[in-house]
Amino acid sequence: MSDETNKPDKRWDLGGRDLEVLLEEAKQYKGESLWSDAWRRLKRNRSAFWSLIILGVILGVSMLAPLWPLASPMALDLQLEPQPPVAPWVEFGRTGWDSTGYWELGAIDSALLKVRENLFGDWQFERWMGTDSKGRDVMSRIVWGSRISIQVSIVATLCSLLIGVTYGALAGLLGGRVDNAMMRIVDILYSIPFIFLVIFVLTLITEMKTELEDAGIETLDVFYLLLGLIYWLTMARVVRGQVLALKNSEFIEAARVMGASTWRILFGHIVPNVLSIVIVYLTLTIPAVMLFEAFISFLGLGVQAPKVSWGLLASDSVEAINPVHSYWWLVSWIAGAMGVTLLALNILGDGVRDALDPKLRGKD
Amino acid sequence: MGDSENRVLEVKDLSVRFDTHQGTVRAVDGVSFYIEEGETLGLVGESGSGKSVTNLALLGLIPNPPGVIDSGQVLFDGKDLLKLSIHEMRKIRGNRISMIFQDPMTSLNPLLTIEQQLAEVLEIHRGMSRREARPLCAKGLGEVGIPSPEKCLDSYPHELSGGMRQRVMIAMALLCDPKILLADEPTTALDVTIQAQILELMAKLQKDHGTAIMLVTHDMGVVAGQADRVNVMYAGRLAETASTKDLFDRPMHPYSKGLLESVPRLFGDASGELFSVPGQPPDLASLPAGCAFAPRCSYAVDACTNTRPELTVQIDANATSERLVACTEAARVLAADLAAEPADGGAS
Amino acid sequence: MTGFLLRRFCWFLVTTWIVITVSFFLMRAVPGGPFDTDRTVNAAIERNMKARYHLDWPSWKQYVHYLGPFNLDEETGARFAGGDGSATFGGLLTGDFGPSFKYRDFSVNDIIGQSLPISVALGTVAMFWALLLGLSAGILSAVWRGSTSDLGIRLVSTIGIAVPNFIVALFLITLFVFKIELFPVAGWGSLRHLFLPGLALGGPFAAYIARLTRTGMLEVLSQEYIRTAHAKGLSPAKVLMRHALKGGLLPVVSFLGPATAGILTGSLVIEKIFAIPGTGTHFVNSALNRDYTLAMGVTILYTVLVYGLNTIVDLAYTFLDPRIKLEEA
Repeated sequence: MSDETNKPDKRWDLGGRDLEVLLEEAKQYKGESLWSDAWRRLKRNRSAFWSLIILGVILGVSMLAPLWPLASPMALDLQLEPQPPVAPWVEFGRTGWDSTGYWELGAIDSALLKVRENLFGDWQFERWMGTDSKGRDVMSRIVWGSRISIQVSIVATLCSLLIGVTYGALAGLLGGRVDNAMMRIVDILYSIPFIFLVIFVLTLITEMKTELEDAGIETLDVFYLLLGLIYWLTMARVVRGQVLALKNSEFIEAARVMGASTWRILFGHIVPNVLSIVIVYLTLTIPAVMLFEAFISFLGLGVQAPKVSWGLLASDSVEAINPVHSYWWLVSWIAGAMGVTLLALNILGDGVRDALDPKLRGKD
Repeated sequence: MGDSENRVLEVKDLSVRFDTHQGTVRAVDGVSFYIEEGETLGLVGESGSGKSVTNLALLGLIPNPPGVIDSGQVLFDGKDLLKLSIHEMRKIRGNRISMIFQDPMTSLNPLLTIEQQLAEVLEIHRGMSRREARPLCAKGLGEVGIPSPEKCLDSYPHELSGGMRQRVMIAMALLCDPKILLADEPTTALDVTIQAQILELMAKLQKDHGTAIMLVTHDMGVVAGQADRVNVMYAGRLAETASTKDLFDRPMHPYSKGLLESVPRLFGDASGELFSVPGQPPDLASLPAGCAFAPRCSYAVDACTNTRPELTVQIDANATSERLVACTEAARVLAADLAAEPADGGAS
Repeated sequence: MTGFLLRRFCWFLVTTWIVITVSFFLMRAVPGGPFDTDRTVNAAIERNMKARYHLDWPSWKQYVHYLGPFNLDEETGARFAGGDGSATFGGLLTGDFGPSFKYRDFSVNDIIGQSLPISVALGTVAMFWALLLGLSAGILSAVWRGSTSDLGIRLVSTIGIAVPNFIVALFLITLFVFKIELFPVAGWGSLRHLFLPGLALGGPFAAYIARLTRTGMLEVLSQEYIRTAHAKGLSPAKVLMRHALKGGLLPVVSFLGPATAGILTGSLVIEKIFAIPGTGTHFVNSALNRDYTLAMGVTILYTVLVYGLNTIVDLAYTFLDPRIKLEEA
């Protein structure tokens, strides 16, 4: 095909312009892959780009939580009532940190904690965000709580991704009766109020905690899997729809006519097209899962004390609501942290969707 | 001819611009023309030449933003339509002047029945109730050759074929017996056989109702069969105005000549390749200083790239009506036409 | 139409059966039972209690007994409701959810009968808020697209989608109960009690509906038939009401199904915060207390509700959009 088009042909009127110039222009258009184009457009979308940076910072602070000179998230200090925040410019830090005030940490976290101990000794930040009714430092609990919330949402989303993409792609590729049956199952699952089943399973695993731990299964792992199991349905539908549409699309037909191999079609055309839709859906699932974790923890069925997650903190903050005392710091910091994170995730998700939207490609 | 008494609509110096991200686009630039009572005026040009925008501007239907009517007058019934309030304009739209569009698939609301969409016109312009309107709607549908009007009234657009939908659009446009019908590419989206039926129908209805039609199209064939006079548009300006016969026999603008040569002919020189106007339509956001057609024009002289030619009266000994051409080299084009005529037999 | 409903009904039976079976065996798969946590009860009484509710039977037998309609309890003939032995038939198939294990003097039907109207009222108020705020914000946003108001509405709706409903609830309580004393803090009794919880529950859905409406309206407003409508001489208001609204709201209609499910789910949290004695509160408590029959009852009820409302939404959709055929749906 390349040989013929390179020859100047009378029928292809070029409007007085040289063929070389045209080919040069064509190269400029073609030279941009789906991903670099999307990335360029995402960067141009200022709110989405800032969301990405904010999320990066949150992720960094959260993952390196043991390193910061924060108070222990579970060190109790029984007082009559929650202590109000002390602004950093009034009192920046204090001593008295105790390295034993943690639940069982993994190897990396323990190492990080050691580093912190060597760097700061027993010095810690003053309670800039106040303490809760049991005297625990709110700032530390928010940072430590973010780890579980973020972990849950990422792992559960990946779980849903794995199940959903496999199921959807399989249904779409096999087609016919198999596809019909598989999608009917999805339909049925859709109309089940999953929250109830999740709550059943959660009560079950809290009940069987010791048995599970003897078998080497963390309750948290079950929790991840469970959330992943709820969110795969839409993913499966979306992927299946895309695969079906692609299978019958004209450009696949065209590729086949031009002699492209099955592998080339699969990895050159189908995978990139499905991938972009999966990524879009992924960025929108993470905040949904995070919200759901908060929801479950709020009901007292998620993460169990002494561990802490954002949902648990939000649940605790309900205590702060009473007409006699206004413990505003118990509500506002956690609400702010969740609000900012979820908002950033949503804006980023929208941004990614716009950036990957084929209708908007090549435009600004 | 040319008598201003007979003019139902007169457009003077109409300019429309679009403010886009790529800059300001002068879609219509100082266009003047008129429509006479009961005639069919063709408005032809390539896509992007501003013919549809001109059409929409007459009824103030340019989406704003980004479109802005910069200047001009549209005189109808002694009033300048562009100066009317939205309220007064609404009394004109669909009543005195109505419009049909290119794609009958998308121009009808898919969620409403045909009756709802037809009766609405009579409801707002004649103050009728739905019940009063129904027989009139059925009559209108019968007039455009729909076999069972009553049944059609109760159906939804997706239940009708493309040709039927365009008939419904025409019936809707003619319900209030308008003075002028603005038809924007009414047959482009239809099959060729259906096209012929629709054009025939429009010609018949025009005769019955005495409606003036402005036929916007890119299809020279359609113009040849339907129009009394033709305006040729290029890059937002009028290139040539002439009676259909004059234009087809002796085009005086190089662009008109190019357009006509690109129409496949059933008779005549069948051996040659089909001619096409060389080059691409210009980018309206950055028009050259001189004649917009100059880069594609085989008659162009140096002066063409500097000065923009105005639409002026040109001398044509055989003219059946006034000939206006925006080209300094019009006489040369005419000479070329006349030289070619004997060979072509001057068939009309 | 009848074919569609019939098919829907068949799938409804399948779905409900799956839910019942899965949740029944899930609960019974756990060692222990509802009476284990009662430390005051001695072993003999516990055995008696278990026998009374047939928890000493193998699970399959309990399952058949629970489903009904045949009575497997040959000895006393005691059925769930009341347990007076008067009825021979019973079980789920006769609409009997059995006795509550924790609230010993009540049957599950009694408890649901008392709490469901409260939850339905709360859900209705929430849906009302979601539609009222969501639709008006979305329509205005679409009509004024590009303006500051549009930007404001879009910002608020993005925040509304992102923020969990209990945070909205806490915010509302602080503002309207403690700062401006407009509403009672919690509890149940009058419509005033439902105002804030309904708003908190419906808020996130209002935000989502606003976004759907905006997108839908913009999509429709760019259609050619809107231009036709203008060309006919319709006033902008009429173009909006008659031609744009119906098409623009179709995406909202299809969202109503998931929205109802979401509102039902969300009510678990909102009822807890506002101390509303609705079905959601009972469900959470029963799941925690291992009150098998009550938890099952609520689950089945919500499955039926979600399924039924989804079917209604699908029907409504086909009435609104003549292009959709029920047979294909």
